[in-house]
Amino acid sequence: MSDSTHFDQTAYTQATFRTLLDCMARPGKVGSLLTVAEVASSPFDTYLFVVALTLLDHEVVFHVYSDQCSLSSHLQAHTMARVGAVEECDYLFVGRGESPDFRRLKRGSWQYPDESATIIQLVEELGEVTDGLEQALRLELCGPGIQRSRTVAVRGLSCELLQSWRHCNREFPLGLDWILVDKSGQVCCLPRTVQFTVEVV
Amino acid sequence: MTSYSYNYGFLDEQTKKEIRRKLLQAVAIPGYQVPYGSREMPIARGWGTGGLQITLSIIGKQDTLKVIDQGCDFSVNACNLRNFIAATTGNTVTTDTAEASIVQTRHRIPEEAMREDQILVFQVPYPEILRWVEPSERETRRMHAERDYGKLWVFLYEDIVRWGEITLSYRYPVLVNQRYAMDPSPIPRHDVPKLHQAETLFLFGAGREKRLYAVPPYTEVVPLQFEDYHFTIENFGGQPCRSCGSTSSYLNEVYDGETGERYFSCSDTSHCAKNSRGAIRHE
Ligand SMILES: [Zn+2]
Repeated sequence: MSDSTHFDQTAYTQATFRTLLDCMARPGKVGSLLTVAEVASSPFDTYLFVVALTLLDHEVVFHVYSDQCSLSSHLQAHTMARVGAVEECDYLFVGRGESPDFRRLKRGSWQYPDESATIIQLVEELGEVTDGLEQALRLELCGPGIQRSRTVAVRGLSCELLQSWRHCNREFPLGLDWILVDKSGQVCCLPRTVQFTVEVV
Repeated sequence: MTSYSYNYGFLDEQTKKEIRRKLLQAVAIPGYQVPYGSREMPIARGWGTGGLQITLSIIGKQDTLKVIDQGCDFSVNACNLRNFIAATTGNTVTTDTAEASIVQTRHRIPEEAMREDQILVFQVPYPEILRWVEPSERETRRMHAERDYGKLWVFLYEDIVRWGEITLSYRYPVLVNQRYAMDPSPIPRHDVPKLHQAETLFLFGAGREKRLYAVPPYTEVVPLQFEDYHFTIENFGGQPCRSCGSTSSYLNEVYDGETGERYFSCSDTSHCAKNSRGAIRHE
């Protein structure tokens, strides 16, 4: 990714996808997204933009929660994806410190649980250990993809939001998958199968 | 090497994007078959298009690829697929399971234990395990939705009544994460336990039926069985592989037309060769 004179979006989105796939398959694992000059100049948060470039196209609907800077039109121009209401979106983008009402998102149907929304949310900081992270939530995770248990620390996420996400996942396979991204490009995925206990540190 | 006129990995980026989105969902709902819009490929359907589309959607320049067909790297099918992927990506290929980051397979799981940094992609001819017992797609959807697998249990029970054991040798039904009945593809029973609590991510693609599904690592995968009739793997009567002497690998019975002799030989040929050289790391 060092050659910024020739931006290879094919290689770039492939690498981003593999990080997301690895993190989705191993909930709580913290991966790293790469950035390049071409995406860093975006008015959208760089790393949210990276995920959007990787997942969105004209076949899907997205929503930017509490969009105050016309980010939707920027994303739309770059991905050709359609902007839609929270209730109909496939991907919900959430800025730092925002707390949307997850209950409005689609959770799929019993026959087609994949017709559900994925949330891509910015947080302050993610880490596999809680050292150095003050006022973080320490999540103890278990479920598919996790050998016994795994710990992840998140700063910039509220307990209330976690509880509301858990509530939306109470009827598996219906549910919401959650991609957390921090300001330095670290990423952690929480699929609907994850069970967790939470503690404030 | 890079003078190809088509996109890296043959598929256009939009096709890859769709498959990637569906793969993330498949991982999030272990064992659930996600519908996707399978594209026409320059190989005949039924020759692994589903697996091929997954491999081409996940592969990147740093990957090393292995392709096997019934355990063999050098069958026509495996060679065609490997050559096609190599030609459209320029990626490195290998026959050594330990060297590969992506293994695409038809009907086997490699003998050598796979690791966390590897992905196994299965070519699936028939993704719907309930097709044994129910022809209607609408009805199988309902059965999965309601976790209504009674007919599948009856099917296995009737097998026991008739034969005194469960005779299914391939496509043995498994229950994933205590929720979805899943077709593990036509792997032998020998390979079924390897799906349970594995280090590796397993991805399954059925091109003709336009379905993909996944088993994440460290996920419960249990063969359907009865308390008094347990799932068992194949038994080769304690006979070893004639080439490498292995008694733990899945064996093919070979008949020598000239001598009339019958003997056993590993189905996973590269593992067999490696084992003969003493190059297998045993845990
Ligand atoms: Zn052998």
